[in-house]
Amino acid sequence: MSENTITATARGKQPVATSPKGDVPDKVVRKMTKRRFSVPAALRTPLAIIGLIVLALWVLVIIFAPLLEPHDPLDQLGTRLSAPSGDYWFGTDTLGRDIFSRVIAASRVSIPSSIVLVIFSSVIGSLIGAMAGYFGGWIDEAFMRVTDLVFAFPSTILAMVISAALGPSIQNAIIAVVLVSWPTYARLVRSLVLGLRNSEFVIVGRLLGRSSFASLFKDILPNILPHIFVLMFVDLGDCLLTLSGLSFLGLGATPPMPEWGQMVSEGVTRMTSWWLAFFPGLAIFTVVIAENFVGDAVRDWFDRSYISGNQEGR
Amino acid sequence: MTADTVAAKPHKAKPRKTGNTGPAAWMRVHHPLAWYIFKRFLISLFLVFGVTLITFILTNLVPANPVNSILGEQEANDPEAVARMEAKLGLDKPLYEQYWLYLVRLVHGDLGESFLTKQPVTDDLKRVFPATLELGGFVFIFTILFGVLLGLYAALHHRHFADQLIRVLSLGGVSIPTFWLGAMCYYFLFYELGLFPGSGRLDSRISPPPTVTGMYTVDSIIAGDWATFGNAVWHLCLPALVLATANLSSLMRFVRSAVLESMNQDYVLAAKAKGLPSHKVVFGYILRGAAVPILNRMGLLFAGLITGSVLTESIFAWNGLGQYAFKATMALDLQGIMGVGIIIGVVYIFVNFIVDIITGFVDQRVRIQ
Repeated sequence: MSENTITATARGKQPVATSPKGDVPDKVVRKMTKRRFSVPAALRTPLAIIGLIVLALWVLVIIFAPLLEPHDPLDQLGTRLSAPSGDYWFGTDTLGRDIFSRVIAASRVSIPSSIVLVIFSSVIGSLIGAMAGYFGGWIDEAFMRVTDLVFAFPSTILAMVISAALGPSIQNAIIAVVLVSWPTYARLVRSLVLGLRNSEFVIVGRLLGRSSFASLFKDILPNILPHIFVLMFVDLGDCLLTLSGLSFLGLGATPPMPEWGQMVSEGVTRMTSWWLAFFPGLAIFTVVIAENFVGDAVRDWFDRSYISGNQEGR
Repeated sequence: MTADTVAAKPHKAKPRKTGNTGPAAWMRVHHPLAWYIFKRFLISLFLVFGVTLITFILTNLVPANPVNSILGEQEANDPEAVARMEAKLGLDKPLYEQYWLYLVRLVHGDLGESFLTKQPVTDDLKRVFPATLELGGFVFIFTILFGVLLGLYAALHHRHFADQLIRVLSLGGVSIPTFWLGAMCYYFLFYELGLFPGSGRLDSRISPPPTVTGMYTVDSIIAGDWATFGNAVWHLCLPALVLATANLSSLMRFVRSAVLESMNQDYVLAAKAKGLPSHKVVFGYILRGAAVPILNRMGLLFAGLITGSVLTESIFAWNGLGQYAFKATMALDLQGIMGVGIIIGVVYIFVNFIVDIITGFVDQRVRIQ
């Protein structure tokens, strides 16, 4: 039996292996050796699929927001605090505005600002971490002590103080959260750069005359980019939570602009009408949990293929 | 997470100088644990100094004029009164001298006077800190107990139904916005069903027990007043539930992955091969191998509970450090913000110091690094 399979595979591979040119047309060889793209198994779990679907729906909502709103999100319709009904699916708020329309309109504020936030903090953190790891010495010490200090403060309170000092607005809230969230990236990138700094291809690059700048950005950075992307993806949900938390405290988006965290805080002052706080919070929850489902799967897949080298049983 | 732990112990590229003598080298060789604790202590001192510097810089960056807010509008127009107040607060001096004066006052336990409450910040903190410590401590014990057990259980039943269920629950737990969960618990469990009290630390008809620690549960036990104790615990339930959800979920996930990591080690295989009973393998080998990262995480968790409960406290009107920080921030009460910053920084550094020492006892390898 085993002999049979060996000969079978040997025969199957023979045309490709033993005739580099001539016998078999190139087209066939290309077709046989072509890498077929397949979605990795870690991303085919039910959770990841649910997450991807929910995220895709939210992307559609962001794109088509004006078409999906049944009413103007800023329009005061007259019927205040009416419970969810056929006309107002999620009810109306204290000023008589339609909550369904406001939840949809707010998706254009909350989600893009958390993406912007992750991009800024990853770029700043990665640059600092890369410099610290690559140059070492006092630069490393200085940067890492600053990182330690930022870590020594609870992010919520630090972000709260910063955005209160800058004045409440969504831009300032983003700045505040960037200022507290970059150290995570700095630490990751520093440890990755330390690991690569003395590897052969980097040293050879330097010997061939690469400047330290080019060596860092052309040799090392491409190798750690996937790690940064995974962290960014995992971080996205957390950033949305922190940002909407600031808005909840009144330090984010300012009132006429609909924002989920701020809508929940409007609802908390009126606890008799549960729908005020329930639906905006549910929107945050669905985005973050979908993002975490996908993020978890991406990290699993990434750990397996990059870090642990296809370990079985993990 | 692994990246954090790796980065926490910086890799020394240069080889250590050999042959140097002196008390430091002698300590390092003969009393590595004492040397290790000493080093950690120095680092902690440095961090405390840094925290004072950061709070000082932050509060100087705030574009608020403390003199005007203290004096009120009429006096603020009087240049003489302004100058007198500036001299009293030391604002007429250069920044570095202000910082020095600030440090000197700090060493004497004087954090200045809050112009929100018109009381010394030290007194304010003595009042609000126990409330947060009570809530945070309660949640901490609960979280550690269930987080470690459930995480361990999930890891030991890797890829089975229990593991998947715990995974979904913990992902859900970290995804719920705390303030939303708080608002919903408040509405459904307090307002609709009336199962738990909605706000405050005690019913208004019950007077707080005589102050010993400032924590009502502990104080009422000391006073032997069981009715007050019951009421205090009852009031703790909702905020604790809300605060525990996200923390328990993330600890569970962390313990699970730490245990999975340690399960694959060769010494665990060896222990199994020796034929040790499974409880010995689990608690003596697997859990011990995962102890250091879990301990570090517990330190972070505790510090986070003490400092990060702003949202929960604001929903349940829990008059603790988070509420105080929030009110001080919104009123731009600089002395109050500085006081909160200092106490939070010190708690964080102290907890990390304790964790480092415990780590030094549990894992001998860190001593010689």
